[in-house]
Amino acid sequence: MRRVAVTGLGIVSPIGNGARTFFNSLVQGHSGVTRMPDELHPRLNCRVVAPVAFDGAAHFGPVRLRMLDRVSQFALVAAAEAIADAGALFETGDRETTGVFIGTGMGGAQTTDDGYKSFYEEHSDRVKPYSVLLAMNNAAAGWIAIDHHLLGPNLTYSSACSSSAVAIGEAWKRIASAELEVMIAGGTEAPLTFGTLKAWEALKTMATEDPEDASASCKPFAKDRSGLVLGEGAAIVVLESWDRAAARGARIHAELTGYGLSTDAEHITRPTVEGQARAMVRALESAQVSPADVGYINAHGTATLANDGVETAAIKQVFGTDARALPVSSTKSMHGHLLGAAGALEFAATVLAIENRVIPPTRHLVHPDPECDLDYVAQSARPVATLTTAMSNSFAFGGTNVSLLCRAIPG
Amino acid sequence: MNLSADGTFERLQRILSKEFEVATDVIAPTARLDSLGIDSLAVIEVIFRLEDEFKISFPQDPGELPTIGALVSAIDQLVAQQRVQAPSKAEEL
Repeated sequence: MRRVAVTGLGIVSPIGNGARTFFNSLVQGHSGVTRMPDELHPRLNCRVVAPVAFDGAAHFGPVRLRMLDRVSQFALVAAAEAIADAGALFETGDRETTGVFIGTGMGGAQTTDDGYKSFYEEHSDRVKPYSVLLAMNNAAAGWIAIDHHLLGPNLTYSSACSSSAVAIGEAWKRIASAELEVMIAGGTEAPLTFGTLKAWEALKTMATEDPEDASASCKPFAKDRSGLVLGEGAAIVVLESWDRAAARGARIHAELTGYGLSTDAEHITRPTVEGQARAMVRALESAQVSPADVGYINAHGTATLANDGVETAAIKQVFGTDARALPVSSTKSMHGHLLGAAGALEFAATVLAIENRVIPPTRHLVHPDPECDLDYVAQSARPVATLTTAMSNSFAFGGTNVSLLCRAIPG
Repeated sequence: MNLSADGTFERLQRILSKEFEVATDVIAPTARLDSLGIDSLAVIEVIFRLEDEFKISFPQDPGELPTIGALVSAIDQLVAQQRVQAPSKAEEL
C-alpha cells in the first residue's frame, strides 16, 4: 500500500469560510449556531440552525448561478480553495489519474423544495428547466470535474451522516492501491430548507433552543444535551500519493493513514457499540497502529441522547484502559451537524488539529453526563505538543460507520 | 417593416443581454445562438423565460432554432397561433 498525503484543504462552514478561519474559530470556541429570524419559516418549531455566511453571486455569474444549487456552490468554492492550497497541483499533469469523490446526504435540497412549492403550494406546473440538474446528488462532483478538468473517476457517495467520510476513505484506497495519483474528496450539504428542517423536526432528534444562549444549544456529551443542530457547508481535501507530493515539494498537512468501515445492520437509526467499535478497530488495523498511539479522537458526537452514550462505550471498548486519558471532542458543538458534509469537515478539523498540535474543544459541556465519562476537552482548546495520530469518527442513520486516521508530519 | 417582429426582437435582445450575459451589440437576426454562448441546454432555459415573457407555450420539441431570427419567427408564430386559439376555446364553452 502506498502512503497518502493530505496536501489541500477547502472549507465553507458555519464558523467561517477558508480552512484557516475555520480552525481559528474552532480553537477559540466560536459557535456558528444561531436562532433563525422569526419571519423565516414561522411554522418551524425547532429554530436553531448553523447557517453559512455565503453569497453565491460573489463567486458565480448570474447564468452559472442559475445552474447551481447552494450545495454545489459550497462544493465548488471549497474545491477551488483546496486545489489552490495544494499549490501547482497539476503542473506535472495527471488530470487523467485524478478522481473526484464527494459525499452528500440530500443533494440539491433547496431545488427540490422550490419545485414542490411551485407544484403544491402555488399550483403551478412551471418547474424550472434545470431542476433535475440542480437537484441531482452528483451535481457537485460533476461540476468540480468540469471546472478543474479532472478526468478520473467521478463518484458521489450517500450514506447519510457518514457520506463524506466514506468519500475520503474510498479516495484514500484508490491512491493507496496505486490506481490513482490525486483525489479531490470531501462532502457538501445545504439542508437548511423548510421541508428538510420540518422533516428533521418530525424525527424528534433536534436540539431544543438554549433559553439563555441559542448559540449554546448543541451540547455533545452533556447531561443536558437535547439533540443535534443542523448545519450546512462543504469541506474538500486534496489527497495525493506521498511520493508525488514529496517529489513536487508540496506542503503536506498530514498523512491519511487508515480507514475503517463497518455496518451496524441492526436498526435504521439506533447506533450500536459493536458497529462503531468495529469501524475504529478496522481503521487502526489498516493504519497498523495500536490504540495507545492515538492522541485525539474527533468524535461523531451529535449531542443526541442515542449517539453520545453509545460512542463513549465504543471508544472504551476499543481503547480499554487508555480511553480515559484519551482526549475526545465534538466540534459539532460549534459548527452543528453538516450531515453528508460532516465527516469531511471533521476530518479537516482533525488534520488541522494534528498539524497545529492543538485539540479543539467540546463547547457547551458544562454539566457532565455520568454515562459519558471520557476526557471531552470541555470548553477550551488544548495545545498538545506531542500530538501525532488522530482519529475522526462518522456514524450514520442506515448504519454505515467510518473512522479515518491521520498522522502528523514530524517537525 | 413588421412592427410586431421588431418588438419581439427588442424584447428578446433585452432578456438575452440582461439575464444571459450576451452583449447587446452581437445580438442580430443572423447571429447563431451557439455563437452567442447559448448551447442546446441553455436554449431550454431561454425558452422557459420566453414562455413567461410572451405568455406562450413552446411545443415539447421546439424544432430547430439555429439563429436569433429563427427564434423571433417562432415566437411571433406562437403568439399569433395561441392568441387565435384562446377565443375559439371560449366558444366551445
